[in-house]
Amino acid sequence: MTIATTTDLSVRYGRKPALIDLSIVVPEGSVGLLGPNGAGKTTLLKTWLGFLPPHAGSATVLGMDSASDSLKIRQRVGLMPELDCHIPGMTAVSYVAYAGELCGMPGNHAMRRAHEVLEYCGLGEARYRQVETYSTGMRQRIKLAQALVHGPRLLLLDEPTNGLDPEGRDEMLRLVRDISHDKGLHVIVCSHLLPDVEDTCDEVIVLREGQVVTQGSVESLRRTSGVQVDVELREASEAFCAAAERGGAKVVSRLGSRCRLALPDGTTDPAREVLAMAAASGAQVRAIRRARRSLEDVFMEAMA
Amino acid sequence: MTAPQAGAEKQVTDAAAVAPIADLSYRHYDGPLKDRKLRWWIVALVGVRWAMKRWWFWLLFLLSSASYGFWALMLFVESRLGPDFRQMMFQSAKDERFATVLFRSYDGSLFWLMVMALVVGAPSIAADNRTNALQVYLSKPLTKADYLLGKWAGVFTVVFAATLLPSLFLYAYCMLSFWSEGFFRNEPWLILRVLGVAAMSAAGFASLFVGVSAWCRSTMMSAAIGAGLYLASGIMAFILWMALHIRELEAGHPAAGALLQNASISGVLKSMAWNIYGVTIRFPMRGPNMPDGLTLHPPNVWVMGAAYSGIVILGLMAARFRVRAVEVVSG
Repeated sequence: MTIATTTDLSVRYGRKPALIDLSIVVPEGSVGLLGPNGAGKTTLLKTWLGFLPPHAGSATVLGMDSASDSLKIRQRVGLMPELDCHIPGMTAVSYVAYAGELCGMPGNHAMRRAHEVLEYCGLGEARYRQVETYSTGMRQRIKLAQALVHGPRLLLLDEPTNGLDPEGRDEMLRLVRDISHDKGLHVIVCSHLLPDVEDTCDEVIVLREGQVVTQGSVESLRRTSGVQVDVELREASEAFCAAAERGGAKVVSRLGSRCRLALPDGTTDPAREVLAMAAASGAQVRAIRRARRSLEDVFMEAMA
Repeated sequence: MTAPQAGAEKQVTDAAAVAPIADLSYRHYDGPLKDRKLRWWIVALVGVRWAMKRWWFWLLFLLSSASYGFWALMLFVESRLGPDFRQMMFQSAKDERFATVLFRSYDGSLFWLMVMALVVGAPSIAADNRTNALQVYLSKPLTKADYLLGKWAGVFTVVFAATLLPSLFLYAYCMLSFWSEGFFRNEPWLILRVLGVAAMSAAGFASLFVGVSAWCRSTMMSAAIGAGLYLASGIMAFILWMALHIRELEAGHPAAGALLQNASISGVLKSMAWNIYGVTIRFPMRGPNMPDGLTLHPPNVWVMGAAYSGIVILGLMAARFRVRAVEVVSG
């Protein structure tokens, strides 16, 4: 089942195009929207929520049209905006309960739910404090809490780790992972931080200048073409690289005593081949493992 | 105790030590949801509650109610001192007596009502702009119209209540004290006029200050602009009136240029209330050019109605134009 789609979607700010003929299908689960600043990630989220009218094409969320059913969509979707935002003059619990009431929850249900959600987001101890007095990390959490309060089916997280220190970032990513993998909510994480998406998402859509550059599961994107292995030697060895090239392999990258080799297609036992090369060159092998591209490699290739 | 029993008990104790007191798990919400039609009232209610929790709200309420208390006291003194005092204080037609008192009370409370509307209305949208709260509001199933109506209704309700409650107090006092003097017979529709003035006043102030607030990102700026518009328009109208009608005024015609005199926000609100109460103000003092004393009629209702509608519509349009879920870049 698909969670959101766009079909030939074009969105403009005045004359400036933000999304150009964008056609994507967002599957269930946890999906990352990657792209540099200005790629159109936030614009896409705003279009899905019906904030921005499409110039051409269409967008759907949970099977509903963004242009005509935006209120129904917002009833079933939670948004954690990128910007620091809160309703002034409120304690955390009254703010989150108010967000629930705005979604139609009766007052007593919204208040009970606000307590639950704040506990879940790790703000239980600070729930009676004014939101203005919160640190950046706590504000990120309360943005998540107000997005979760009405029990949405889909959560849109726009740069969820913005401004967080490493500990706060880990904590936020743990929450996002828990929501998407253990609680059954569908999540779209919009970020320009690759490790965030790598940590939390199963599927990635890379945007550049309003267009899709690449899309696929994180696993498939990280998979290398052909047979590639990472070899760690006792010390850097020119002779080993020369032996590898003599044996039909290609040295993809080298960093100190580590190198990545692309072995010839049809290699059935890469370890045996590498050990043969090491024996021929007199190099001592410390480790051999199947090479995997990082999401950063995928992203850089897509941007190139 | 057997070994397995002891083991099981230890496991339970360990689990209790590790488990949090609160339930930290996340569950989906599958409870009831209210109809969307009255969602704006939730926004309004937050504004009303916010105002009612402030001590200054009650101080301003007391100050704005003071003139009603004063005129109630005057009525009481008049009932004790008799017709001579009435000639001095309450020269009005028989069917306008209590309407005149209510109008004068409203006139006396107008400044404090403005201050109250300002402190409630100025932050209504400006504070949301400062904290980017619009993204929170509009990411919920809430339209821009719901949001604006809610903000407007929050200010309206506060000012409406602050105008109506002392008016009702004075009305009740008049009714109970002067029943035998033909209170209902002479002024049967007075309660509707009281409601009309309270609603008119609240709608005017709410539209003006919510409109100004929508264009500001700071409460202080919004309050300064709102107060500036209100006071500057009053001062300008007074200076123009004095300058253009100085000769008539010197000749002893203080009623000259009534429209210009009321060509301000306060003047328009006062004139509208004057027309709604439909009273003629008579001052007993006599002068060489005023052998019968001074009589003031309400300014032209159509002109003042148009000016009032302009204030309300402009305020609402300004807010509607400015409030957006996303910044729209043109060009």
